[in-house]
Amino acid sequence: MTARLRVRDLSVSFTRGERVVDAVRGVDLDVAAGRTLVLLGESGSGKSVTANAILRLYGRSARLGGAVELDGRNLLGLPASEMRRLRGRVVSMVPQDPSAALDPLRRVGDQIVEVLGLWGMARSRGAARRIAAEQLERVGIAEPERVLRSLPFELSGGMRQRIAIAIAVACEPQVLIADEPTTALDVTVQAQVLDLFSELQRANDMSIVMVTHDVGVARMVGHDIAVMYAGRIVERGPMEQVLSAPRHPYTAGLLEALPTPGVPRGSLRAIPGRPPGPGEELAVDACAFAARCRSAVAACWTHRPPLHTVGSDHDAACDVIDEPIRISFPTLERTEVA
Amino acid sequence: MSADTITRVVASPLPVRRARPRVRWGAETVAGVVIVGGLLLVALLAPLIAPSSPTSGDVSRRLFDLGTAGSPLGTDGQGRDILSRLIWGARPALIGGVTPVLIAGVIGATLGMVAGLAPRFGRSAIMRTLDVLYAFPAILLAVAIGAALGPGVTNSVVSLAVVLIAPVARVAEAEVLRVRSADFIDVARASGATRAIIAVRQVLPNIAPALIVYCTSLIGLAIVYSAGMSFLGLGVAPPNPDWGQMLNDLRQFIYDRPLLALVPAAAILLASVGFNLLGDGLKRQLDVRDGEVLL
Amino acid sequence: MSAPLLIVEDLVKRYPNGVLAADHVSFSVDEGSTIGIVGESGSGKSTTARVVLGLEIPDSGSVRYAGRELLRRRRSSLRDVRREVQVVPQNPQTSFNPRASILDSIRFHARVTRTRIDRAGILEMLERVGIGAGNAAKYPHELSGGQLQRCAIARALIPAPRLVVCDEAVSALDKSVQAQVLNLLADVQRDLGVAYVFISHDLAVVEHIASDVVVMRRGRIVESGPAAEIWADPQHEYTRSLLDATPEKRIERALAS
Repeated sequence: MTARLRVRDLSVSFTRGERVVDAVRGVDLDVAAGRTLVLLGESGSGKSVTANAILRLYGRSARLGGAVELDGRNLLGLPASEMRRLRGRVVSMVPQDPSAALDPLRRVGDQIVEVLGLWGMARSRGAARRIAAEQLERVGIAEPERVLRSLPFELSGGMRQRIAIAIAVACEPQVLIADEPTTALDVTVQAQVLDLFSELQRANDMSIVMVTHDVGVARMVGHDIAVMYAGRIVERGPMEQVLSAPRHPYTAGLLEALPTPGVPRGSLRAIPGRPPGPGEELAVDACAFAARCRSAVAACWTHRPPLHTVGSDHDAACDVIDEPIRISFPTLERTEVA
Repeated sequence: MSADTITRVVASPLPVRRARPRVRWGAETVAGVVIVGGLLLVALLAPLIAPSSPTSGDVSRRLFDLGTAGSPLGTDGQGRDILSRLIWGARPALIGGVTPVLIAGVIGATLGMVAGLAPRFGRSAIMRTLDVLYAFPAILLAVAIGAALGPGVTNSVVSLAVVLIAPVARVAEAEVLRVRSADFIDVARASGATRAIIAVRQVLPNIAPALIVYCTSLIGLAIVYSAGMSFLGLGVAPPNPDWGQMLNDLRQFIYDRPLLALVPAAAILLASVGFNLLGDGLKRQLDVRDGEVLL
Repeated sequence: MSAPLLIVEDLVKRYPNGVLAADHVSFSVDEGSTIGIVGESGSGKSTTARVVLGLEIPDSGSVRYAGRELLRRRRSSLRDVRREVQVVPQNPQTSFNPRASILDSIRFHARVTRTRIDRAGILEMLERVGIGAGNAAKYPHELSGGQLQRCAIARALIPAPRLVVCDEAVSALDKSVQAQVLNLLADVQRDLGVAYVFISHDLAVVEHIASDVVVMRRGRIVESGPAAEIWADPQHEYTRSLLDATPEKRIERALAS
């Protein structure tokens, strides 16, 4: 697979007072044209930081290491002015909260027209408005003219997200980064928005990096998946393979924790403990998941397992598991000894 | 409660630990603390540090310029040492600034809380009434009330306090509305808590930081206003030293000794700025404390 | 067969802006059981919860708890009911007073509900929900979402309630933490016999924790019945579309095929 977007050894550190917080360490990702990679993780995993770092959204507050190559060019090495030209046009982002993307005091049409003007996509206001209406239709908005005349608060959350997506894809970017784009939406609207992503991808061969904490969402849209924990990737590979035959206990734990029908109440296989907070101090020479892992052995506390190949295109960072973990759910027939 | 529960609890290894707030020292905070602290010290130690009497002067030494030996900040029209008057004037400046804000703070905060927690009709009634006061330019209103009451420190303080109630109430009400929408208030209400207990135990501690910050900056404003009242003859009565009054005295000599009038003006400015900076510093400190909370 | 603990009948609530938040809503909850109320935003599920908790007054209808009518009564006469009906709110960050420690907040709650309990008793309850004594003195911003929800559950249990309204209590949590809290809620029900009104937009969570489900849309109940039946064979078109959009259902179908 020739990757359009290649992330190599990405690390992001923030300085908070006297402390240095390593939010992301040593992340490698590949995304090919026309494919969606899901970055799956919980709070504090570093998934959003990774997404923001790809777009170089952090200023001087963060130190970035490694490389982010788009068609061979390292985005992290570009001067800021060059990056600004790429941002929004070649690499674009859909944020988590659609309300944050839109100015509440201005009409939607004016905002889109302004963005199109900034990117040089239209010669006149009239032309820009026509393009804006087309873009809204493209994302499934039935009455674009009415929406263009509206103020953001007059529209529903799903509508606002569609508008944010429309703005993000207006320039036909090569890579679209979506940071939890459906978390703030109702579940039926969520399904529609995720379908929309797939459509847009098919139409333009766009690469998508989708950040989410929801395994179900991941499954609905992704071709490939990278699971993050404590700032590192702990497992990655083709979606179906990773989710049906995971090789890392954390991935298996996430799948088993889902409230699957048939599991007796009170017996959900929860992962004990909680994920490390962003920037929490972690032992350098231990597996970050060891404290919560069912399969941990003594070696897990003295050695951090690197990400290594466990199958075709499938990598996992665990030295204990050497065959696919069978996901099992407690059922009423079996009596579980806790 | 069983015996082993007690043992378990008592034997808990971790001491019950409170988070210690870190103080955020920024340039503004330092400047504010230094200025206000200095002002307080000067006011307190006035009898000890003033070189000469602030009220009696030697007419043969009148209108000496800045830098004169024995009167480094000059002398006024009656030969009184300006430096001494300046030092002694710190007291009325502080009193004139802090007292009205204290009074307006208590009354305004109470009104704001009552309004914020009241049902829509009651809230509108209170806030729209206060709006009437708020609509007047503050200094004009203060002067009007002061003129009606007559000169004197007490009247000046009262008129300023009246004028400041509305802005404080507004800030208080806005804060209350913000806090009111939080879940923990609902939990208390749903469990049978009365409005009063919610107001005092839950709402007040949460609006206090913003109010304290606002009132600190308001002191800076009150100092200027109270000096203004004295300038107009409505505050401190002569011959007691007061910066506003000094400004009024010395401006008549602005052609011969222009720099003399600058002295009280600079003092008023510095005091006011000092309190504003302190307010900014407090704001930063308190923002950091609440930073993690979404409220 | 004893009478249901809570009977909600024909609730109607229309807001001044014209929105009909509750359109003849009726359901009941038996002692020690769980009813799930599922709906998306604007469905009226939150309004229904708030009416049961006494935070909102409906235009018409009836809410009977242990045989007593709750609506159109003076607050002071319902003190004991307010003790026995507790709530765990959605947002862990705002469900506690940011200016008080967890211990102080719970003490305040005990006082408000006139529950006699001392410090050791509160710590014991916190221990029971998985919060160590060391965390009791912390302030809300120092704890994670999952920890705060546990504290909220502890707080709700202090007055020995018979009914707890869980208003999207796990919606703001990571899925792995959500599982822990769901287990905790189930354990508490098993040990203490507490009944739940469990409100959520997540049909999979509701199916797991509730025995009966009520599906709401725009203020109306469109379908109700046993949880397993609704999950396996939804009758109403809206329920079906909700189910289709639920990831766990999709996974279930994918695994079955």
